[in-house]
Amino acid sequence: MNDIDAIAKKPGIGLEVDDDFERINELCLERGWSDGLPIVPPTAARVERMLTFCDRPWDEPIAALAPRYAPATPLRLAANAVMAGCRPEYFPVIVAAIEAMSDPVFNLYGVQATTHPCSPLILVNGPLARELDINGGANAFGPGRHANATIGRAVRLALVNIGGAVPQLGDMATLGSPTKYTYCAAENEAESPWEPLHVEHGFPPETSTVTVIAAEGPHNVNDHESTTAEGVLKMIAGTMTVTGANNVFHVSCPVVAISPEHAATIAGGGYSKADVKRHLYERARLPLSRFSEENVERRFRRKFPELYAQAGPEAMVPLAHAPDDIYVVVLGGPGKHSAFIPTFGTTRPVTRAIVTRDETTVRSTSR
Amino acid sequence: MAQLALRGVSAAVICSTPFQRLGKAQARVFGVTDLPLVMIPHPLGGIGLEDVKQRANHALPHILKLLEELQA
Repeated sequence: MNDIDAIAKKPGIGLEVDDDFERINELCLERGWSDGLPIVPPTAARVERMLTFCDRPWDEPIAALAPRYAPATPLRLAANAVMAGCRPEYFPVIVAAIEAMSDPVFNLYGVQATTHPCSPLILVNGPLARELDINGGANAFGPGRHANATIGRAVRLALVNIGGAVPQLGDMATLGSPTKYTYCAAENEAESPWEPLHVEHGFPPETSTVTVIAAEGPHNVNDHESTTAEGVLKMIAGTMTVTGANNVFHVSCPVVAISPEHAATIAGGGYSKADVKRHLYERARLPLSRFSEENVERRFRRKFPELYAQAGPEAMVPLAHAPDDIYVVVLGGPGKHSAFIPTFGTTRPVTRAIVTRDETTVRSTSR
Repeated sequence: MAQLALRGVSAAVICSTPFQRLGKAQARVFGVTDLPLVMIPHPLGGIGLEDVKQRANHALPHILKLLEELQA
């Protein structure tokens, strides 16, 4: 059924209110349908326009979003996309991100409800990233680009409004994170010396994909001095070796976002992406002596007894348990800054092709 | 716990105070609105063994009482 008026008349779907921007925003805040910023009122006409880029039945669930396990239908997702300020052509990216997060390996319940400050980082690869003007260059994680700001916000609003990740009710984050407002970027494929993330994971280059990663905010790696691959990688590995990251306590997938200039230096030293992963896997380790005695006894010795039951203070703790668990992407613009992005444990990133219902690759003109 | 309760097993969730609302909401989501929550003082992480024992001692009579009620 793709009749907006008929769907809106179903109990619990539509709501009649005065056409008053301020009043509608107050209502959303009162009912917890908000991230605290003003929203665009999701009128039937706007939601219908958003759904011009959806080829599925509008009331057929795409996923059940934890912790509320409420059905994420295209209609509900479109309402949240409107609220976030999205253009209709962004909608297939949002649907793919929601589908990706519903993969059990992503552990959406844990990601949503944890006290850890993670939020889904949405990385877009392929031609659609360029067509939709999703920024992967300078200030990729910063403000100013409509697609980055609103796609990430739409996903976050859906996780709150449909999934129930309401702060202190379904989202139990101790500190939270500014990335819980929006966290979306494209990989800078044009300036990467390596195969892009989606190709590495078996997708054709002409396919567009979305990868969701339960991540903290980026932690900067300032390196203006290294002129060799080994030098830059030593600085990245040094930044990764922190005692408070979940990555040292869980089997997990940390992310390294390498700027084009750093990537060029590393690739200039003959390093493939697999070499970078192997190098970081071997060097991003920190000795047990850097952890408090309680963490050594209560975490490492008990959780990984095969590794640390008898280990001395010099035993090394890796940030990742396998080279391929480290996600390497090229991101950003000019400058000598890269980033280590710590992630949540007990979750794996998920990559999904952005396709129509019949598996046709979506382009920005698909409707 | 919700799945155990739905299968007729006496079950309760031990929960520290800040997580009470989440616990109640989850019980409702999983269709067991009457799933008992046994509240213990927060925090549970980062405390010594003596404090853990205190919390266990705090929870135990509540758990025994619930089991009696559920089996009655």
